Amino acid sequence: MQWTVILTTCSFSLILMVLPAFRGMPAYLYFFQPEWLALALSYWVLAAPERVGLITAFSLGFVADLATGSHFGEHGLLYLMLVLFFAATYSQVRVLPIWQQAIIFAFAMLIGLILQYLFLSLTSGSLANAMVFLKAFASALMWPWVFLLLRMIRRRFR
Amino acid sequence: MNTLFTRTTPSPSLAITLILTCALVLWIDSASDYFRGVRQAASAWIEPVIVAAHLPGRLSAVVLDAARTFSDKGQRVATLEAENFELRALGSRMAGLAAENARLRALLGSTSQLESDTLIAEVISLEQRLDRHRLILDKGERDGVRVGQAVIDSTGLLGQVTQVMPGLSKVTLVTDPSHAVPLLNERTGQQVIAEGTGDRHQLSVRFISVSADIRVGDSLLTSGLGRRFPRGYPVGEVANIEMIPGESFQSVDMSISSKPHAIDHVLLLSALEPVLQDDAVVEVEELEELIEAAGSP
Repeated sequence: MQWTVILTTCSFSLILMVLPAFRGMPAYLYFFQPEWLALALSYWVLAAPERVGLITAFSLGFVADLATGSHFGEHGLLYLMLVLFFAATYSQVRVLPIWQQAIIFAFAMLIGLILQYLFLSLTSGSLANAMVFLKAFASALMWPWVFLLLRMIRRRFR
Repeated sequence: MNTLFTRTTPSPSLAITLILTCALVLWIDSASDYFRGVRQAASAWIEPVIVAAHLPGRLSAVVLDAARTFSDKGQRVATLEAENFELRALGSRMAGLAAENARLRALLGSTSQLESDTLIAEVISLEQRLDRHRLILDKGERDGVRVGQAVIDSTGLLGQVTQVMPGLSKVTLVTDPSHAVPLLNERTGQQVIAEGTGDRHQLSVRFISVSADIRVGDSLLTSGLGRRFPRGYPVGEVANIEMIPGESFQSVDMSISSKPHAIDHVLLLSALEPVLQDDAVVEVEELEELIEAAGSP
């Protein structure tokens, strides 16, 4: 039952990630696109760490790469880092107020993005665009709403 | 001992294995074409996600279009009729020119260009990030779209199909930083290569030697080399030329004639069969023999 809820919410966040831009959207706005799947995944690690773990992050990473057309492994690195972070700290993070969770989420995203940035720069042979770190803050701003919505869904379908 | 809070920490060895797997796959995927088959096979499976993401936009477009058609139908029909008349007149002249062109090509002994089949597709979204310039079209494998087809509109070349799903296809624009297109200077006949830079309106023309005859305003067409794009479609004109002291090439930028952000429909040209240039190989071999014969006493 819970798996159905987890996969459904993850599918919805995947759809949000490939939402088309409006015509003539400036290129820099893409850096403010929240990583919806990272948000959903982090929530589920906090809420159900016994179910959502590294394997889920790894698989969802590849699905996200397919959907957005990025290189295989790009999203996996970010999601694995997030899951590692929250799986180690979920008992402390769970009890914090939502705004503090958002700050911690931004921090975890930054770690993941740094790992992604390093490997992207290494494999492409030139430095990747450092603007990607803005994604950490854009995503953290969405954390309260995602958290409240997913908690409501989880309680409804327990 | 049973504790109140059971801890489920992920195993470090699994974490390291998975991270290294991701890194390895990322390295292989960015350096080679090895996973193209996997991507192609899985794209049918991921298509519903992309269709779902485009649903709100497409529905609103249909509603807006219906409202607009309803309000000024009469005027639109009049303008379209006038345009149609003009195009028919042009078309009849084109037929004559095409026949003449075929005769001339036959005289010159070069292969005549085949009349290509075309397919009209609607643009359902445009993505212009710094590192990626792509269109998504509403026609896919079911409609006969193939990877490698050239995509044009009335103003010139837009790009090529790089991924095909059952009902959708993705087009990489000429402005994409990973894209390059072989061109021909219409005025001088010089062959050049233009690369995308991530700029939305400009391409960078590469390897123009300092002494080359190129001017601002020169119009550049597809040259047909490489047989990916058919010959003769306009791409843009030279916008900026800069000599950098000490460099062996000029820095040349061209502006593209098409406006990806303003188009709704595109034309897909049928993919050309890649042809091995047997004649060229033979010519080179003959030349080498001649050179050898001349060199030996």
